[in-house]
Amino acid sequence: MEESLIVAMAVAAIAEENGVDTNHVIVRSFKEVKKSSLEQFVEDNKISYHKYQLGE
Amino acid sequence: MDQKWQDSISQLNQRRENVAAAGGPDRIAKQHSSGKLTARERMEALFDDGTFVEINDQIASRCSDFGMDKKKKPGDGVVTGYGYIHGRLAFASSQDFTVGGGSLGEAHAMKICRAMDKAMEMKAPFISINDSGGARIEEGIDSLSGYADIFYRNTIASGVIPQISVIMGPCAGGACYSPAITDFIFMTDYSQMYITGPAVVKSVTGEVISSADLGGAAVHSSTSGVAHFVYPDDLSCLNGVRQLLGYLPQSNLDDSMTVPGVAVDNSASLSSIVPADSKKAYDVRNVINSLVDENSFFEIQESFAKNIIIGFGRLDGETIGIIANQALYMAGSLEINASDKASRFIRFCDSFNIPLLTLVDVPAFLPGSQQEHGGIIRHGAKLLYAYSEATVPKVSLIMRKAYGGAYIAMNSKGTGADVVYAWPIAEIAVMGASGAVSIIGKKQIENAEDPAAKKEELLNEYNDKFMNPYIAAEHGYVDEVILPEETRSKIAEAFNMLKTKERSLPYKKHGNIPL
Repeated sequence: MEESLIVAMAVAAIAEENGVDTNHVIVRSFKEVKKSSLEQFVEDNKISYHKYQLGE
Repeated sequence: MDQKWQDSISQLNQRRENVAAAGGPDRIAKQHSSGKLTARERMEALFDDGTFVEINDQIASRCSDFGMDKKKKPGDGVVTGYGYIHGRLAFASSQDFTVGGGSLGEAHAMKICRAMDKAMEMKAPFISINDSGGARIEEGIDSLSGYADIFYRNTIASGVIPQISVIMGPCAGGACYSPAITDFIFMTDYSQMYITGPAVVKSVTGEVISSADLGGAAVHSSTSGVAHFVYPDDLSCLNGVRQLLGYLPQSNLDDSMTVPGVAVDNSASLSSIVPADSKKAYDVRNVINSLVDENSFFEIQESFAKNIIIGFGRLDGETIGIIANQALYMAGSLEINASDKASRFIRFCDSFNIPLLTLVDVPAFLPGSQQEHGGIIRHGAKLLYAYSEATVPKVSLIMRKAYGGAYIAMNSKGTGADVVYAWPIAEIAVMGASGAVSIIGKKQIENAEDPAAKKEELLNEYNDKFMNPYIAAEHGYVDEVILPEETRSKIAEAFNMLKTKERSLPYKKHGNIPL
């Protein structure tokens, strides 16, 4: 799937969740959130990791 | 923005980058290649996503001896701060092996102490992640004093806030004593703890031993009993810490969280799990899992003193501490290690308002010169002391055997149990039938025409008269004899009734537990 399509779908989903008409949403800029060092380590080493959450 | 603002901001950003860079890419790569995370990555794994806040990141060593002022030590080799675990506040320190080998100097210790002080003020758990070469030799007595400051705080905080130590690399010399004072020690497979390392051991005693054999996780979890939990790597270990904290309150002024789960009542299966023949073994974990909420039993020190099982579980979402004789090992008898293991757990639960459930199936204190000379009198006394002293709700279930001093030691009515249940197959007596008959019937057996028949007759008489729960029930030492299928509901009812229990001890500075 194209990156731009994924972004468009994400924006639409957030707009819908907040009760905003997607036709009225204008995306002015994107900020790429960098992966944390831990996330990078997990990805680089192909580690199957899931942070324990209470009740599991 | 004027130039001064710009310069100041640049300087701050640079300083922040220096600290965040820790020991630099090469040392971080080395840390990663040995399977270990960095200090900050560990914090990220420990706390809820995005909640870790670092404090005192600019603290630096004042030492200039031995060229220390020329050596860069970002953060002085330790990361400290706070965050949230399951949405609840917690404080932590994480030694940074990439910076000066995580060695502890004056400023390093001060950072840890500041975080500990905050944890105490906020009444929140403190987690100490250890990965350090030990005292920073260049800082001399100041580094030793730093350890003392930490040990002092560990001691003062004991019983006030939960303290958890996580060993993820070397932890040698005096550094071991901070974890030793704390409530729980987690180790990874590649970590080590020892007072003196293999090289010193060899030079002093001539003994040649590897680091792992001397103080590795396997040794400390099974032989010394120093470690409570062992995990293969950093990520699983920190998940273990998160799991443990889910059972604990924030402090001694708090109660544990109620965690809704799936209630389990497999009491109907208990008569199949526990053989009526008291000589037959079974896994008491199956009894525990038949009554606690689904998947809620969290065993502690599972490889050490296997003849007694301890751990947390949840009953209708509420944390309880469980102590159970394990018939699979030594027939569930009590000995030195089991006494120590259970006593410390009971005291932890009592400190932090966690009710106690005791499942009793105990033939005796283990006899023999090894036990006597090892101080079973002193160690066994800890168990009596811990149960007697505990003021939290205490419920016992006598499943099968409960003989002699071991019966008394396993949360008997006389030592303060609030509610004692027994199954109809329970045998509550001074000792087993064979031993008793050989003593009280000695002369009768010797003088009998047919000693074997006489012995059999006396055994039957003893079994009929004493090997049941009814005399104990008649005398008020057992509150109720219950059917196996009633077990879970009776225990849950008892804990429910005991929720508002108030029992206070007379004023004293502190008791004098036989250590």
